[in-house]
This record gives sequence, C-alpha cells and structure tokens, in this order.
Amino acid sequence: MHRRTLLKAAGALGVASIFPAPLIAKSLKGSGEVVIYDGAGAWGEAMRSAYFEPFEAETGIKVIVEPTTDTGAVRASVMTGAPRYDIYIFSGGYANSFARDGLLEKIDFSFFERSDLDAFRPAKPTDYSCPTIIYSLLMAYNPAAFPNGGPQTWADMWDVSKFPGGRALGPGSWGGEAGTFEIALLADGVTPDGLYPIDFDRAFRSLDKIKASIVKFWESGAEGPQLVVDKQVAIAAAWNGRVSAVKDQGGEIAMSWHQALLQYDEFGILKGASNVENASKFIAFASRAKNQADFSNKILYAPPNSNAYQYLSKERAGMLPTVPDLLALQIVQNQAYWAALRDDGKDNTQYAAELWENWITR
Amino acid sequence: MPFLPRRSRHVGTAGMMAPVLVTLALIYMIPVVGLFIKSFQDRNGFTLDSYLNQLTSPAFLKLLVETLELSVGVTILCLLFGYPVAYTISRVNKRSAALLLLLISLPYLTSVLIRTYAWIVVLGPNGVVNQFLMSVGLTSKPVQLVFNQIGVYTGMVQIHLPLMIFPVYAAMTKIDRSLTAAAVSLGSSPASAFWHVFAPLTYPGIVGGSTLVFLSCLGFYTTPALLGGTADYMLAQGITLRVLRLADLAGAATQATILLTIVLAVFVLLRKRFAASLDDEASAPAPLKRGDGASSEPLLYGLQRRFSTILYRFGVIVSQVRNYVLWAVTAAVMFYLIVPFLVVVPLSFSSAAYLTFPPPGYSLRWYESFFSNTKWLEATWFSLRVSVMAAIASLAVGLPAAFALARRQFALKLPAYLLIISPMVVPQIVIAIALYLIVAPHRMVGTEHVFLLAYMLLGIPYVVVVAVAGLQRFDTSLESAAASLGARPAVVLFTITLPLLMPSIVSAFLFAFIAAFDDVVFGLFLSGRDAIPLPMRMWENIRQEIDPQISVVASILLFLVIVGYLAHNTLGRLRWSRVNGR
Repeated sequence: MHRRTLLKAAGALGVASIFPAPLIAKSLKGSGEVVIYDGAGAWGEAMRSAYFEPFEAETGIKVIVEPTTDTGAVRASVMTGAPRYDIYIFSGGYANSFARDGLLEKIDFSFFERSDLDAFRPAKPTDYSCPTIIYSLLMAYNPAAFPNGGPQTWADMWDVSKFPGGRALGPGSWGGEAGTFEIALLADGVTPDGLYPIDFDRAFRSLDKIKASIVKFWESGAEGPQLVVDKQVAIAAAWNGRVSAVKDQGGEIAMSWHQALLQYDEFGILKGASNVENASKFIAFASRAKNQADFSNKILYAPPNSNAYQYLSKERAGMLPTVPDLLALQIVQNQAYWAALRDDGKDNTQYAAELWENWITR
Repeated sequence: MPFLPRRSRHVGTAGMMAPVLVTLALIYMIPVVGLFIKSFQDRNGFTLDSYLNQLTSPAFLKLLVETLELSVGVTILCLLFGYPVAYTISRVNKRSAALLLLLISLPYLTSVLIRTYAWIVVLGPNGVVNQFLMSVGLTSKPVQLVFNQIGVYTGMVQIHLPLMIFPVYAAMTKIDRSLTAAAVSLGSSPASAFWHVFAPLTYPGIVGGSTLVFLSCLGFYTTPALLGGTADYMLAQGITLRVLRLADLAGAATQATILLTIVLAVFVLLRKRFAASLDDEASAPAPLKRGDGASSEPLLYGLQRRFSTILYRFGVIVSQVRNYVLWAVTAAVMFYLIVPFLVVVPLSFSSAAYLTFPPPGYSLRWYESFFSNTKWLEATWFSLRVSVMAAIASLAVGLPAAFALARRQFALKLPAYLLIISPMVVPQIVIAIALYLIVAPHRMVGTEHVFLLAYMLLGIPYVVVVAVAGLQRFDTSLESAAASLGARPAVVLFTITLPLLMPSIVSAFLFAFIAAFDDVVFGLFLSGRDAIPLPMRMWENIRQEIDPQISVVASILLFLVIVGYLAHNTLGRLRWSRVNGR
C-alpha cells in the first residue's frame, strides 16, 4: 500500500514527463555570480562545503549567500521587481504557488545529466522547481517515559491512557508544512491513500480529542525536540534531522518512522533574477549524485537523486529517510495539494490557516 | 536654539516639529498608507470585503479582545510592580539609583528568544519554582506554570517593566519633596500626603509609562507565542502569519487597520487625559474643544474616581508598613528582572551542544565559536554601530518635537502626538513590509542607511513619549531665572534645561538603542550580504538548531555593560577627586 501511495503522490506532483535534457549535459563553466539562500546554520555549512565551494572551483561562477528570509518576504521582493535571490529554497509546496502566479523562471534542464534527472525520487523536478532535500516529519518521544516500549503510530500518540504525558504538534496555521492535518487524520484511522483532499472537519474532530493533552503547538522546527529533551512533553511531532542531531549530542530522545510524513524542499529561480543561467547551472550541479552524497554526509537530509546512495556508506544511508527500509514505512506528503487553489480563490494553505484560527480561539 | 519658551518663539513650532514629521512621512506614513490602500482593493477595484470578512469573523474578534485584555492586564501589573520600585529608586542616593536603573535595563540586553527560553527552564516541570513548591510540600506534583497564561504574563511583565519604571522614575525625580513635607507639617498623615500630594504629581509618568507598555504589548507576539499554550494566540501572531507565510497582505493590512482604529478610538476617548499630559500647567488651555465629551465624561470620571479610591485604600494600608513593603517589593522585582541571567550565564558555559539546564558540563566551546566566527563578530559590530547612530538620530529629531508638544500650543497637537507614537501600535511586521515595498525597487535593501532609517522609526516613539513625560512638571522657573539674569537661550538650554532633563534623555536613548538592537522584524526584510544585524544571526541560528550560542551573545553584552558601568564609575570618581583636590 505504501508503494502505491508513493507512485500516486509522484503522479500528483505534476511531473513534466520529458525534460529537454540532452544525453550529454552542457558545460557548467561560466562567469559572474549566483545569489542564493542557504538556510544558515548547519544546513548552510553543508551547502557551502558540498555545493558552493566545488561549484565555484569547477565553473568559475561565484556563489553569493544572502541572509535567510521567509517566503512572504521573498514574494514581496519578486513583486517589486528586485528579487532577493537568484535561487530560493521553497518548503511546504510554495514553489507551486509561486509558479502559478508567474513568479518563477523556468529551469534550463539542458545543464543536467539525464542519469541525474531520471533518478529523482520520490519527489520529481518540474519545469519551475527541483527538489533539493527530503526530510521526514515523525514522532519523537522521551524513551524514559515509556519503559515498556514507546508509541509507534500517530494513533498511539492520540492514546493518552496507554501513553500518558503531554503532547506537542506543529501549528496548523502553517497549512501542510507542519503536517498537523495529515497526522490528525492518520491518527483517526484514515488510510494513507485516502488523505487527500484533506477532510478538514474530520481532522479538527480528531484534534478535539487530543487538544486537552497538547501542551504546545511549536513555532519552529527546533522546538519540538527541545520540548521532549526538556521533558515538557512526552511525545512531539518533529523533523528527523533535528531529532537525530539532539540524539547524537546525547539528548534523551527516540523516534518512530511509522507513518512519518515525507516532505521536501525545492530550488526555484525567482522571476526577474539577474543570473538566470548561472542559477540553472548551480541547480544542475547540486543535483549530481556525488554532490548530493557529499551533502548528505554533512547533514541528515536525504538526497532526492537516488543515485546518491551509491556514494554513501551503508551506515550513513541507514539514517536517511529515503533509504528503502525506512521509505516503506512512510507516506509522501502531497505538497502540491497544499498550494492548490480552491473555488474561492484561496489556496488550501490559506484556507487551513483560517479554519485553524477559528479552531484554536474557540 | 529653538527650545526656549519666550524669546525664540519665532523659530517656530513648525521648525521643531518638522524634522520628526518629515522623517515619519518618508519612512512610515507614505509606505503604510500605501499598504492600507491595498486593504480596500481587490481585483475589481474598491471593496470593503476584507473588512467585512474580518469584522464578521468570530476568531478575529476574539483575538482582538484577548489581545486588548492581555495588554491591559500587563499594563496594570507593570504599574503595580513598577511604581514602588520607581519610588524606591527616587529616594536612594544617585549612585545607587544609577546602579538600580542599570539592573532594570539589563533584561533588555538579552534577546527575547534566550530570555524566553530561560523562563521555560525556570517555570518548567523540573524548574526551580516547581522544585521549591514541591520541597516545601505545597504541591506533590509539578504545577503547569508555562505554556499557559501564567507563562505569558510572567514573560510579558518582565519585558515591559522597564518601560513603566523609567518614565515614572523620571517624573518622580522632578517632584519637590518639600511639598509632601509641608503637607505633613500641616497635619496630614504621611499616607495622606503621599496619596494627595505626591502621587498626583507622578501622573504624567504613569500616563507615559502605561502608554508605552500598553502599546508595546499590542504588537508583541514572540513572548506569547513561545511561553503561551495552545490557547494563547495573539493578533500580532495572525498578522505575522499572513505577511510571512500566507502572503495575504490585504488581510494583514486590514487587521492592522482595525487594531489601529481601536487604539486611536481609545486615545480619543481619553483625549482630555492625554491633552492634559501634553500640557504644561502654566500654558494656555488645550486647543481641544471642550464640553463635547459629555457622554464619555461621567463614565470616565466615575471609573477614575472608583479607581483612585481603591488605590487610596490600598495606599493607606501599604503606607502603614511602607518602608518594609517598599523594600520587599523592590527587592522582589529586581530579582524577578534578573532571574533569566541566572540561567543564561551558566548556559553560555555549557559543554552540551543543545540547550539543557543545568548544563551537563562546563566548557568555553561556545565562546570559542563566537570569537572565531567572523559572521557573529561582524553582525555584533553592525548592530552596535547602527543602533547607536539610530538612537542618536531619534533623539535629534524626537527631542525638539517633544519640547514643542510639551510646551507649545498649536493646532492638531494631539493628532501629531498620536501620529508620532503610532508606530508602536501598528504591528511592526506591517511597517516592515510596507517599507520594504517602497525601498526594494531602489536597491536600498541591505544598506546601512535603510537600517538607520528603520531603526529611527523604532526609536522615535520612545524618545517622544519619555521626553514629553520628562518635560511635565519641569520646573521652568529655573530657566526663567537664568534668562532673566541675562543668560542667552543656548546657554540656558545647555546649562539648565538639558542637564535637568538628563534622566529622561538617558532613558530615551536607552530605549531607542535597545529597540533597534533587539529588532528581528526589520532585519528579516532589510538585511543584505553586507548588512546583517546580530538578532538576524541569532534568529538564523535558532531556526536551524537551538544551541547555547545565543546565550554567549547575551552574556557578552552583560559583561560589556558591567565593564562600562565600572569604568564610568571609576572615571567619575577620579574626576571627582581631582576636582576636590584629593
């Protein structure tokens, strides 16, 4: 069933079936610069060593890193005609809504190797976007609180009598990005292939059942694991990379991959960018299997180019969310759904945010 | 110089108000009005749909009411805790007062984020407070003190107390103590003298402080977001969500406009209070129409009378044990203010790679990584430099306006005052996006200049509110005396007026500096590769991983302030002893 879900989700992503990629990719050599967002912190560090420095050495194009910004500010920058970056990294399916509103340039796939392009899974490139990292929203918990075995599924998280303690979830006002609606539905018994379109009434009824135990809807990705380590909550929804990082550093935290939600970020070239061609070259470079493997050796984000696993040690691969054993346990989020427009002209993210505000103030 | 009462009138009120009004027009009014026009537009032209949607949305109305409730609640608590502290400080000697004021401003130097984390540690299930409650047997299992209203109020009051204490203290320093002494010698009880003579004289400070706290609360959301629970969702949070994630600018502008309208309505309702606080006793009646407030007057008057009766009763009780209570309250408040540091400083020496308290071991690793990272050092220098410049610039344009507002009569005075302080009410995220849309096409994003301007916008309201409060009850007879003895206006200004106003100027500078230094929101929009303020670096850092790095920044700032204070003290003493020939 999981494999079927995967295929279906891939189909829903609006994959452009044939890219105009030649058998032999065009040279990436060039001049000038490319302005990019790097997400800062450990992520920015990993990008610097796996992508920026080797890209500069190979192509002669200089990589300029502009400070981190949110999607709303980036949209404003494109609308004023002075886009803040050449390449932005979109989460939560926002690349789809930017593309729909004409705020992205097409990526020139002639710079890509055919073998790289064909190996993207489970998320595929589209005309306007190219996946760059894959991560998993999963259940993190305090193992000491459950000596007889921790919770495995989202239904377990909802079972407060069997697994007592506080809970933390992401904010539903983020739409699909924090996975809260999918989690609530899965906990209520919805099967993975019946998740979309989201049944919001059912999701809120499910959330009603656990609301009293929820200590906090977190406001940043680092907060979920922090709440568990601080013993403020027993179980939290959190991203795998953050949980692993805390665990590596000796924090008392465990995780379950069952029914985890697989999400991904995408590169997109902003409309009106000064260095469109260099941007395509950079994205092609960062899509190479070897480079993605270098990147995933630095930080626990999975490579969308599945060929990257050829360059990763078995041990390292085993920690990444798209390694086949783990992939089989998970569900690929339909990020395109969250960016899709409804009849009233709002997209599903905006619609969900309004319902959410009504629900939490009720 | 334009500040003097009589002889330089011809310099003109317009001249005094112009710098601030021009600045605000350029970086605030034009951008924000542009954005507000958007809230009336849709694809087909003019529409009120956006407003109808919000005003019929139960969620929005509930958020609005809750936001107002929280702001009023925090203001009242700040007044209750802040007033006795200000009173104590006004009675101790100058050196001790300076030290206490410094301690009070310290919490401001830690970023909101790390301060909030400190509260989570202190109030959490394994925190100090719960451990204490359990050890004395008051409770058998941990009480939920954070991620609920208790947490929100604890964090919000701590953050806003300095905003109350400084203006109230500034007002108290200008009160002639011989007045209360006279009352007592004429047979009044000390309590009665305090409540009938002293307290009313502090009224401008109370109005100033309450205004600052209330307005700042309205637009504040990081603390409620982080310390609140599932139900503590504030209006500013919704507005930020709309701007940063949903890209619903019209919705955000609509919500901000409604909030601003309500606040303006409150001000208009209380306009006599404000007009009074803007007017010197000596000056002519306010230019406001009198007698048209018949409907609101009895209500307000009644409320005020009831409130002052309660205050009076309370005061009588307190004054019987006054000194003990006063010192106890002051000590407790001071402790409350510095509690976060008791967590933040040890945390900066943590050997752990994530935030955990108490640290599992101690090391200097986070200091090493701070000082070896040019990104942190450059950002620190950028923030210090631009914030200081912005604070000075805010004083330069804000002080003349404060003089005009406090001492001159002119048409539209109250509207001008409301305009100047309104940037505190309009959620900052709305101002930031409005400003961004204006400056981005001119390639000004990522320059020092644009930060200087944006930071001035944060500083000006503080400068004007604090300076106007400081100019109230200002003893103008000293100036008149000097002038009558032949001192030129400039001499009077620099030898009499400004020195007397110094406590207000210093606190205005401090607030303006700190508002800029702590800013994340403008940073989000205006940063560029060569202009990245420190809070942006911290924010980037915590977005990826919560580690002890940000507590290092807070501890270093604390250290710098202490060194600065000691240096200032030592220098001061040296100079003093030289003057005295010792």
